[in-house]
Amino acid sequence: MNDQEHTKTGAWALNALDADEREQMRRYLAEDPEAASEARAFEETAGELAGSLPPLAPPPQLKAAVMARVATTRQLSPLPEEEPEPADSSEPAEHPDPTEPVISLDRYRASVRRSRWTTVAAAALLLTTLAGVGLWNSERAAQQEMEATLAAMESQQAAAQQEREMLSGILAADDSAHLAVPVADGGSLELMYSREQQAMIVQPAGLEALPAGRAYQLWMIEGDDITSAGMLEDSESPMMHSGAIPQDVTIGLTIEPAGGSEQPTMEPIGAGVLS
Amino acid sequence: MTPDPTPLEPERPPPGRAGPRPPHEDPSRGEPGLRAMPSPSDGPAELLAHTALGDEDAFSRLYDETAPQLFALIRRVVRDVSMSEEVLQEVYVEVWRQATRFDARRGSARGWLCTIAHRRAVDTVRSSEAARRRDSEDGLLTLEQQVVDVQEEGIMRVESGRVHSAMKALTTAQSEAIRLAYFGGYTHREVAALLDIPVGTAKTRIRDGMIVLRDRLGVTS
Repeated sequence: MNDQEHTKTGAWALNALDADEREQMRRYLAEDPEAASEARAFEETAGELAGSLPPLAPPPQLKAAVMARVATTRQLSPLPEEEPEPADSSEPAEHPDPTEPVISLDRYRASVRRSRWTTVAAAALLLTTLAGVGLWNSERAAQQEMEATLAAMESQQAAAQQEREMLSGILAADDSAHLAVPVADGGSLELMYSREQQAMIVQPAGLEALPAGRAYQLWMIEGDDITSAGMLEDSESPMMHSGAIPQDVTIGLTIEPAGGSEQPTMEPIGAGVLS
Repeated sequence: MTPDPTPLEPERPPPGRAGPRPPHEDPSRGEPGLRAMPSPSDGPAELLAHTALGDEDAFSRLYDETAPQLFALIRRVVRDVSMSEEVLQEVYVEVWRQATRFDARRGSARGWLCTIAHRRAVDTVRSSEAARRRDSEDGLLTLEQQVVDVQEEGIMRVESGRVHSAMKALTTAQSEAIRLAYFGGYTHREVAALLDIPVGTAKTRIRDGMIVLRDRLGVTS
């Protein structure tokens, strides 16, 4: 037994440990059944202390609020029945964990989505900036060329700005949706779109780099009606598409000659339905 | 305040060990579909077991029976009325969510509920305290004033018979440390700073005191 940790059982049961120590203690208790059982008895004891306070009725409308929330909150799945070992050993796993905030599934998903796409946006911004710096360095020559470079940087920054605006437009929309489309040759496309905003951002992930002269092209497919949704600049950069997104349209990815085709020249190597 | 909180089992037997248990108490046993409806005499453990099956009526009764006690605890730690009300809500949503994880073999329902409520109350205090300290220069002064409150009120309010006599078995130093930690919501480091003692001493005082209380109150694990 670890004395240093073991003496913290009292503070643990009274929730008097800092977040770090609490985590450390949780791990310790998982391994020391004796300390875990002491900690549990202390928690019961603390409950007795709480029970000594004169009861205080909460305002009645609180209950209505709780019941309303409960009606829309899913309960956790039960933990699997324990192994037939002493019941003590897995205490911390079953320890109620109120530090974990209650977040509705939708909000959770939305937040995951948001953070993922913010990362995409940040990455896109960084890429365009790096491209600009690259251009800057390669142009040491004439004033004219330098001006051209500046113009290119500006236009790229304008594009990044536009990208950001589109992204925040999509994120803010009530109907923003996300779809991951696996690609047959490896990798995937992450689609974020909003019909309301008539906007879609496509972020390729792990696509094969294509030989010169070939390029990825996206299509909107509605039965026989196929229209180009744009070219991917390369296998990594995000692409923006604005325009109406029909209900249940299929987004398909093909490899076309650089510059793109009028109609796809192959079956899509990846496709997903925007429902 | 609403005058008459549901009386809480006036002669409360030690939680979780109140005589023979009805056969349907253990949530891991039996066929949920065949389970009897909760009966009017069910205690928190039974109500919690029914709550685990998604029974909102059982949960509603569990709330009625336990909310005044948990609210008293939360108010005691958090103090701010509207903040306490918010914490109480969060606690019961948490109880609903986690009811499926409650295991009557590991401890009493009341202990489980108090643990959830206390932890949530303490987390709230600590995060708002941290925010306040960042905002105000005189955070420490406020902290000191609170300590005086806690000490005075602790003495006045911890008066339920059994607990009161158990508390009397503690040394003053022990009961001070325990009260500050549990009712004051301070970390053992803060307790040490407030009492001007080394952290290790605070830690041992708390544990030694808890051992005395546990034995006096007849809590076994």
